[in-house]
Amino acid sequence: MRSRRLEVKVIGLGGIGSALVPFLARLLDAREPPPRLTLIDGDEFQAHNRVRQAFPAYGNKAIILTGEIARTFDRLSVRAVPAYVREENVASLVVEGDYAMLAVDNHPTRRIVSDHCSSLRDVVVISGGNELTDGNVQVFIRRAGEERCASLTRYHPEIARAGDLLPAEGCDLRTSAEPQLLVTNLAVASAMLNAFHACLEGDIAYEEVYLDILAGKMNPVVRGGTRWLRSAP
Amino acid sequence: MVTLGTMSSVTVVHGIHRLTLPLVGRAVGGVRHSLAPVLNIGADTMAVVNGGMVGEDYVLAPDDLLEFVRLAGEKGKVRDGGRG
Repeated sequence: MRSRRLEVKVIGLGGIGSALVPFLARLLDAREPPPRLTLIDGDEFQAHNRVRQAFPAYGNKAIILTGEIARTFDRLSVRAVPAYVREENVASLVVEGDYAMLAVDNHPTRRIVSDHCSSLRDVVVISGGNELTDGNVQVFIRRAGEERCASLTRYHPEIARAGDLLPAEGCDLRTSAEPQLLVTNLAVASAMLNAFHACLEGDIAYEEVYLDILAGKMNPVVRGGTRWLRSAP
Repeated sequence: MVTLGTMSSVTVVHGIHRLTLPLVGRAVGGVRHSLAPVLNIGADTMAVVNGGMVGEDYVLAPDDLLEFVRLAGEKGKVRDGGRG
């Protein structure tokens, strides 16, 4: 019996997302049937991004990276959505059965995706974020209409109460004021892939993991109890 | 002799930190006050015991898991109070 085709959406292709995608694509390329990968970002790759991000050309990140991935992994079905996620389009971008890899740099987008996914019956959201030298990855799972791992907002009021300052409305100003480190982005991307692999294997053992590159530590956290976890997907 | 556990301990989590301490009978607010300078616990972080949100007056019981939920990473800023 053929298994259902895996649908993976990567939202945000900045420092974390652009580090995540090549390895995610390689992981997906080995699966049968070949999954579909959708890369979503309305942002443009510009000269100042080169410190942390590897794109072969300037222009929309989703379009450029989709071309690269499609050339490298010809079994995968890859498509670009050159748009930011908003209240108005989230329902068409993340749908039932999806794995959403959320690699954005703002809480309003996390809130929009989390709230929308709370209305779906079956979805997995893996969300990573970082500050300068530390970060975290949250795992949000719904199966058969039941929440198996908490939404992104349940234990994070800073996300639940995030305002409406979305990318293209203030992101560029904050970028220059708050520099990021490539190594922290990479650590979070790696932790997101760990969580993705564990979810695919039905063996996720935590709801959130914290990491710190200077301390060299990761700490997985379970809040709702292990009844939610293991064999979750 | 190896001691695998003690009935009088509480596990405290904040970010990358995880400690097992003899805090049974202590209120969450007092624990926050005591550990804040050690673990860089912010005053605005939510307190969660065994998965449920609790107030500062909650009294800890044996084997409780107390977490002061560290704020989610957002965009590269240097955290107040440093590592946690």
